[in-house]
Amino acid sequence: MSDFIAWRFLLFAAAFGLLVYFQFYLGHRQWNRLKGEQAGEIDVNYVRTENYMAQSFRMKVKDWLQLPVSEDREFGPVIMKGRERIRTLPGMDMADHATCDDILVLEQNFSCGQGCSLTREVLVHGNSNIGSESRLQSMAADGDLMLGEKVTVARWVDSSGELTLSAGCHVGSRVTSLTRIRLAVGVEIPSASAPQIVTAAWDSKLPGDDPGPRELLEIAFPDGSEAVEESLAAAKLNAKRFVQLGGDTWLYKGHVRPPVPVRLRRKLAVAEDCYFPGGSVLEFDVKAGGSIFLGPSCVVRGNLVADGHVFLGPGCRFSGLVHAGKTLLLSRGTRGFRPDGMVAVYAGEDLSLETDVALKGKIASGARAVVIDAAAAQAWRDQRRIQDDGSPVDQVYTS
Amino acid sequence: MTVIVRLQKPWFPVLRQRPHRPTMRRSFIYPHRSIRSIQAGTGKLVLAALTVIALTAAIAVFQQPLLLVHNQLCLALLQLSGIPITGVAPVELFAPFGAAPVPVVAVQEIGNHPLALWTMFSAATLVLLELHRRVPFARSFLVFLMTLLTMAAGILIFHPASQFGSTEFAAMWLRSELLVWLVLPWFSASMFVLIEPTPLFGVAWAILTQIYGFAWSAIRLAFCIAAMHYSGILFAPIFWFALGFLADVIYLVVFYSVALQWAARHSWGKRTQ
Amino acid sequence: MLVVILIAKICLVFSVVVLTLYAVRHYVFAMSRLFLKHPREWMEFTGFMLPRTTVLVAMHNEETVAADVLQALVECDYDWEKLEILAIDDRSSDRTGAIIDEFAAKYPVIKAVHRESGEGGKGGALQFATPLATGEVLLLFDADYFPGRAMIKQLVAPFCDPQIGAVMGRVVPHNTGRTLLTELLSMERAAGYQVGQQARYNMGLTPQFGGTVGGVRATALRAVGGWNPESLTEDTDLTFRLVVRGWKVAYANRAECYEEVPETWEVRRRQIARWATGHTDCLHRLQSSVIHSNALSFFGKVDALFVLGCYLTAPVLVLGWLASLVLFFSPQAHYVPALTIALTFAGYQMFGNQATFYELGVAALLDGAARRVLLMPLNLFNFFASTGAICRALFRYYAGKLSGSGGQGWQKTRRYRENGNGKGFANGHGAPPGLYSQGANGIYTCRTTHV
Repeated sequence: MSDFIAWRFLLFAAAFGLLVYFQFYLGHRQWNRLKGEQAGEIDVNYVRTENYMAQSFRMKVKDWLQLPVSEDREFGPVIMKGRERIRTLPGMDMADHATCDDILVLEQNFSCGQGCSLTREVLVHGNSNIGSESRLQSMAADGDLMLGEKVTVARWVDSSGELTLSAGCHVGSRVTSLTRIRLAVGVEIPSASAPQIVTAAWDSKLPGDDPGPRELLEIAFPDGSEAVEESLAAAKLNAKRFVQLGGDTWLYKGHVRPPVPVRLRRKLAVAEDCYFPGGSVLEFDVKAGGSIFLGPSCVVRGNLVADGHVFLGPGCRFSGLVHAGKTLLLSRGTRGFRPDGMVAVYAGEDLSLETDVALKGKIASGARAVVIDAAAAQAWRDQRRIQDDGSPVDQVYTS
Repeated sequence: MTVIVRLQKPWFPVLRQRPHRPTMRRSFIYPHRSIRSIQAGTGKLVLAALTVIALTAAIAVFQQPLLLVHNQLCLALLQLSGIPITGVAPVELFAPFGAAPVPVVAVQEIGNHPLALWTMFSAATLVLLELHRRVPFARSFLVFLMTLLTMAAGILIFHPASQFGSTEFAAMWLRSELLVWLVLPWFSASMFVLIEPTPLFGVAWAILTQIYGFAWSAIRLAFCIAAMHYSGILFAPIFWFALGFLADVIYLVVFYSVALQWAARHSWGKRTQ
Repeated sequence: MLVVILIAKICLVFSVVVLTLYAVRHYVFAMSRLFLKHPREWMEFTGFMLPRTTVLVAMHNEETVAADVLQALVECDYDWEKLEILAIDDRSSDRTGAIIDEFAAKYPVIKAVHRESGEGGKGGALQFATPLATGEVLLLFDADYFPGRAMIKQLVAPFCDPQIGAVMGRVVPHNTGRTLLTELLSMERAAGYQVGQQARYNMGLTPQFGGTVGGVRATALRAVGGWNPESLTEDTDLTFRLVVRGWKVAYANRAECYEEVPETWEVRRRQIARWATGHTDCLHRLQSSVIHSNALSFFGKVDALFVLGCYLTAPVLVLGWLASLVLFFSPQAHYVPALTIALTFAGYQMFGNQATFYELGVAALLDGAARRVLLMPLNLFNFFASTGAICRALFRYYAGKLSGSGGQGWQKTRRYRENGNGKGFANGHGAPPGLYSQGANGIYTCRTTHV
């Protein structure tokens, strides 16, 4: 029998109302906590600097050195930063297999033998020489920095002088230098930035002036005339597949595989793959929805962008940006220089560099940048079914 | 001056607490939020699949005992709130699932009592209008409720034959809730198990969500039936749309938000938050 | 009665199908954003791609915020040899023009542009000023934004791809703690950009150029006929005119910029009403071009239509509700649960502004926004408010089209702060002096502190 005044139901309704409110309680409580707070998600003063981590560390060391010095029985004068020790020394020479767990600041040179382990950052105001198979946290050197074979760096390395990574070195984060970075075969790094980045067997030559005019087939763009159509046919291009995107930019809906070296004087976006024979000159930007393969000694004055792979054949020269959505190979003899700025090369996956590659600027990858030998480069080409000259395996160019 | 450091291991066993050797600092840096993603490894995918299968199978296999418990919880709450229960009737849900017991409660045929109808309708409308005036951020939601209320009143006035009882309401409720319980594991697998840094936490959360959904359904149904005992079907659309499906989505969002809060705290490291 | 029930069923099925398609689409976006890596990453080229750039800031009665945005742009680290800032005084009746003139007199990189007459809102102002621009790339900022020092370099980096016609950055509300609405909108924005835009870009679909914190290539703009001053959403209009021609739109998730979101529900309703009307108008004008475009793939076209029609989901949802309500009282109630639950999970999950609740959550997870994510259930009220506002706006729009009386005119969104009050966000003095040096290539490197 129901109550005359439904007081039990009203109690139930009140309790039910509380349960409904409980669904929103956490949100309501959180709103009360967040009320009045200002957003701090973005650092508006952020400016991208390639050697940020190293310079940030240098700045911090400057601050840390202002902290009070205490006397340690074992190590002498030290600075305690929380539980960590900072030691300032004139120089240091560590023996083989030695370990050090302190942050080191060295006024002069530093060297360590084989198999050492430095678990904290090191700042060297002089030159630094790291023995093979050693492990470092990070290192900044104001002079030259040499990493021996198979040295592993957990984070970054930076030098104001020349930075050399010997065979088999692995660095976990950025490699930067204000002078030059030398990369031996087997080096694996995520990115590097320097006025000169060179791989093993670099011939010390910077790209000279333009080698001069070449006999090239000039790719003309459709304007309805027969001459242009003939020219396009010679380049194995179909005039009907061209779409003018804008004043200076064209889209080609298909592959671009000219049988002879060409000169391209417009910005071109290609829906599929591009194979440019050796000696071609690309004056402006080229984009491929597939992959881009350049034969030997091509010259690229614009940017190269591909959603797939990018291959620069031996002796290619580029002076812009190269972006590969997947992998990228810079063959031996590739040069990337620009007199009034820097070049940059990026691969979404692995970025491979053969020997005798030099560029002024930056290399970066979504996975790793690795210096490979000729055999590995051949394997790279085989996997993508292209020949040494960048042409597809199933097509032979006739001169 | 160069300091030469030679470190030697002690030649005797050291019977003291081993000093802590620090490892490399921060060998992995969480990327900037603009490029973050998480890995759904094979293990997690398998665990997610198993979660779906297990929970769905549990509901399918134990649906009769579950519905029985659901009904008992409902009955208990109705009795506590002083609602006279006429009996328990079986209702057909869906063909593969058979019948489920539901409470039978006398429902006010408010369509046949115009005074009561208009009184309740006016009172409810005034409350909603007052809330509409005072709570700007809830205005559209209140308009939604007013629409439901007006529609119900209109049906009662112009088509009183459309009135139904608690059994029909409970049948509709259980049909929809059963579907919710079957859909939940799929959501839980992708949103809890795959996202949580600790997959087992995701599994536990999925199970907790399922249990909560079940219990909360019984409580809501009890309230709705109890209210219908007094008000007939005047508020039934509100119960159905707002306390029914919308409440299901709400609790799902609440559980999701709590799970994500835990995941966001533990996925990227302190410095990236 | 049977006819009514039949119509109700058809409406409900239609609603469920449409909303389920949207739900699946958003689910795919959320999952792909969460688990897949970006195939296109341009941020490593920040500072290496340095085209001549014009920044356009259109201002109509923006005296409260004009100085902040101009100061922020002046402090950007872009080489002034390659930069010009066109500050457009668009028929202002307050001190906006005077403020612009003061900045132009002080900084040679800023050029004052005064528009004394003309039609159209922002689109008209941009159309007026664009012929004066000399840059290869035109960047746009609204007056209430706070571009960071690296913003210009981050936004121009994707233009190294010659097919990119426009770039969009990410907007982040800064006035999040002012009201509950601003917190909820902050979550919505995060979902829309961190998940929606990025997922579409990753999947080769079209992220939307938003008309601010974004840029367009000058040649691409000319190729598609420039700005459309008659559109309420000239950004959406331009996006799809570009892509149907063959240009692509890039999304730069790293290029984050603070913005100001509405702090009251009334302002929010007006804003979303404009977006809904503008989007839907774009749908009607551009749907044929999208469908017949040779430049878009099948899925690209489908997604484009989904984007253009996204605000129609609100009236579709309401239609589904009303149909469910009719069926609720009919003897056909047996079918109601299956369809209504589908409607629920498809429709009610639209907790954000065209962002589902799982997108809100995924965005919060990726951002590490552990504190904000608990507010998600409160978005229910925002959802209802948005649905109501969109339905009213679209009703007015279609009523206007039928009666030929014209639609909603341009309405400026209200600003809440005054110059200098955004001190926490404006660049102020920038980086500590002496730390950064800019090389001839425009790249900043840190000077060593070693002497």
